[in-house]
Amino acid sequence: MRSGDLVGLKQLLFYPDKCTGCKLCSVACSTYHLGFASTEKTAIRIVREPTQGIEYPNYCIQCEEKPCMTFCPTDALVWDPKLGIVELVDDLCIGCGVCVIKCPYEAIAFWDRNIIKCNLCGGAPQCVSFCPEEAIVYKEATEEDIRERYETAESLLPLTQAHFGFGVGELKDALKKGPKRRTEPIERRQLRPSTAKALGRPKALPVHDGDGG
Amino acid sequence: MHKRKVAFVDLAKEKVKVEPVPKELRRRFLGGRGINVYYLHRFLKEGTDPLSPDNVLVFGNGYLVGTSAPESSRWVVTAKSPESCLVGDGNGGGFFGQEMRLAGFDHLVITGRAEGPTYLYLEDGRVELRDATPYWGMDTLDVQDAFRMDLGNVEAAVCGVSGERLVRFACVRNGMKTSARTGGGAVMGSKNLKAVVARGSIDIAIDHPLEFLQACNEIKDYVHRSKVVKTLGRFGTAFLYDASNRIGAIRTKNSQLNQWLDTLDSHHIEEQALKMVSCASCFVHCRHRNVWGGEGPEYSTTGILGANCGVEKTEDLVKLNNLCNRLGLDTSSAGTILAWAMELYERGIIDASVTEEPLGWGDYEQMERLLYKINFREGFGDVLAESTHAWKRFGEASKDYLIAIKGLPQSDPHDCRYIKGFALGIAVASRGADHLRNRPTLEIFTTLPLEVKEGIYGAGVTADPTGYVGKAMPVAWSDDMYAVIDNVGICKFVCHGFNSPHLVGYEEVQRLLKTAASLDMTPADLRQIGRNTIDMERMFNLREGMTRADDTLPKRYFDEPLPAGLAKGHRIERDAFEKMLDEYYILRGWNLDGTLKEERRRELEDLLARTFPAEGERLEVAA
Repeated sequence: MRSGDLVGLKQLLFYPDKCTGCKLCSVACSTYHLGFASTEKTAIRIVREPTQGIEYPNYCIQCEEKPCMTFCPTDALVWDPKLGIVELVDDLCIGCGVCVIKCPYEAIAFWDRNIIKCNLCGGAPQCVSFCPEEAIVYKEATEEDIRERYETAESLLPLTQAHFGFGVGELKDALKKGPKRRTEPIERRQLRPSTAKALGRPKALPVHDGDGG
Repeated sequence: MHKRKVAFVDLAKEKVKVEPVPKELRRRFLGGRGINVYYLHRFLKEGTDPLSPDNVLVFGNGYLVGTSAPESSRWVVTAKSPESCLVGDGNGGGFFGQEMRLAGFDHLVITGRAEGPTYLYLEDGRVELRDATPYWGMDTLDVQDAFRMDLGNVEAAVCGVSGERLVRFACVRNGMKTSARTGGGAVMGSKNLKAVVARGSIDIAIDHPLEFLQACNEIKDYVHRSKVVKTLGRFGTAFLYDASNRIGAIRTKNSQLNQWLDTLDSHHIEEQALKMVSCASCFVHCRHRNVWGGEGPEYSTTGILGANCGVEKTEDLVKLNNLCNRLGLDTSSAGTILAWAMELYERGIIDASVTEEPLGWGDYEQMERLLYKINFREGFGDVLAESTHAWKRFGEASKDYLIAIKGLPQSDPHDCRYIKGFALGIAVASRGADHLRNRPTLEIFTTLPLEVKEGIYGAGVTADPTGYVGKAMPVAWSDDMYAVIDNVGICKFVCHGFNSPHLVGYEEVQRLLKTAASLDMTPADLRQIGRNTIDMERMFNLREGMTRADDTLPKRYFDEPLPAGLAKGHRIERDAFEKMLDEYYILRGWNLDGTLKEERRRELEDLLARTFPAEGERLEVAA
């Protein structure tokens, strides 16, 4: 059972059948973390085929292997045991894109040597507050929930990979663009409450949790 | 957000010019339908044939499209309409608007006719003209699949073969959604333009992200408390059929009758649905994905393609809906024109020498056959494809049975002989017989306290929906509110007054604009934007030959009382109607002959002649 370190923690779970394809989760995430609206530069992206009746969210499912962390050359991806998620330390990231390629679930977005991956917004996921149908839910999960999340993600993997289709060739092209550029000042990035406090930054905006609030 | 561009595309010369959207136009209209009609009026010469290369085709995004603003998916296709030969626009949802905005564009102004099949490709602030020969001849769904297979994760706004063949009510499609009315697809086809394909990658900057998200979340929660919104989310617009049918206001058999079968009501439609889906940034999810491989049917389609044509079985309605959509035909026009032909045949005004076969009501195989014939303009389909212009083939007498205004078939399945405010609304709407410009829906809620109505529309409204007094006020109020919603790109289903006394109004829009784009616009400023849009549309129509005589109703609504139900006996009395019209013109600040006052006309003409400092060169009217 691949859930040892997650039992007892709140989990971001998803239910494709409930997804209406609205992409509010994507746009809310990019707006919150990066200060702009985008459907691609966001930690939760919708796989959608307009005429085929396919729509579901794709994001970091807090997998056991964590190859993103293992392969990161600068240790920019760190494990937060309190949230049960791998989090990006922006200052250490050099935009090499290896985590993007290594992620088994295409969960990391990459552009111009920037990446974004889900960090659960420090424990109050913004996406969940916008989802109209509880297609994504943040709650304490059972082993059953976690297993179901893996199974669902894996059953969708062929579609997910076809949709994002990020290959080594594209990565090489992106890397040719030169050293990493910031797209916005770090102030706009969401910081965990403890980090924010330590840096004297304003606290994160309180968001609605997934329980219909 | 301020960095979105307008691209001027000359398909004949194969030239593209990309410029910033002038701040002055943002100030006067914000975006969407309003800026579209400005460009239409500015670049189109008076008296142009809508299917000629000289028509101007404008694609436009609402100002908040692409963001997390509630329900902000709406884009607009504007041109001189091949159906009405007046201002035409179709408002669509889905994801094309968002993608076009992410590709860097708020407006495309397209002129001329391409030499061969062409599509526009938008990405990274660039517009490319590309060969569409491999895509020509495909229906609206196959062609989108083809684009995605060839180009990746793109969103496309396409026309079907119906557009290629210049069917006057051919529509523009994106995904399974539609920018339906006024024949935008035919204008595309007349320009040899198969599609506009967009791939987004330019972020839409939000000035105050946390405050904006908070505003979006709070408005979402406020809207979600509405019963109407919850009903829409579960039953879609189908529930409106139940309400209208109950009072005897469902147009049936070409509006000869006013009540139809329960087989088309929301519970039967629900049985044919798999799931409810959304457009971009929509949390209402009012659209059925149906078991027959399509989406819908909407209330309009259920009424007009269903009851109005005498369709009895739910399954037949859903399949006809899917077919119309796939072929790229506006269901409101298709249903009205088919029903018109059915009644004319029944009365012997036309016969099989015109129709090629005996016409009956609600014959599924026949309707399917006719829709295909229309799509390809074959045989009788070639006549029906002319929409309201088909009277030229049917004869003068046929005009008495045509349910259309200003040459556009009526889109609301609700028969307006009962609720007089609705009747005034469709008579004066700039597109023609259309309910989305200004339907004062609150008139239907007879239990709504008068104070609530007064609080929304203003003093002078009256409680009785079947009376003629105090109806101009709600229509004029709705004109402005709905125009603003169209200009910011928010779906009318959460628009204040469209389905409910609450929801997104001027205050909410003010807050969203302030937090997203640091714009300071008061509710009064916003209402003025509505007025600017209405007056610009009016001025365009007047230039194209419209007069007060065109602000009227189908003959049936004046002369024939409704036959059944609560609404039995009601019709529109001509002199009472004319009085309502006078009152409306006064409220709009127009002369009693329906023209704009001199000062206002000059103000708008000045705006049309303006050189915008940002561009530094005068924009010429297309020669």
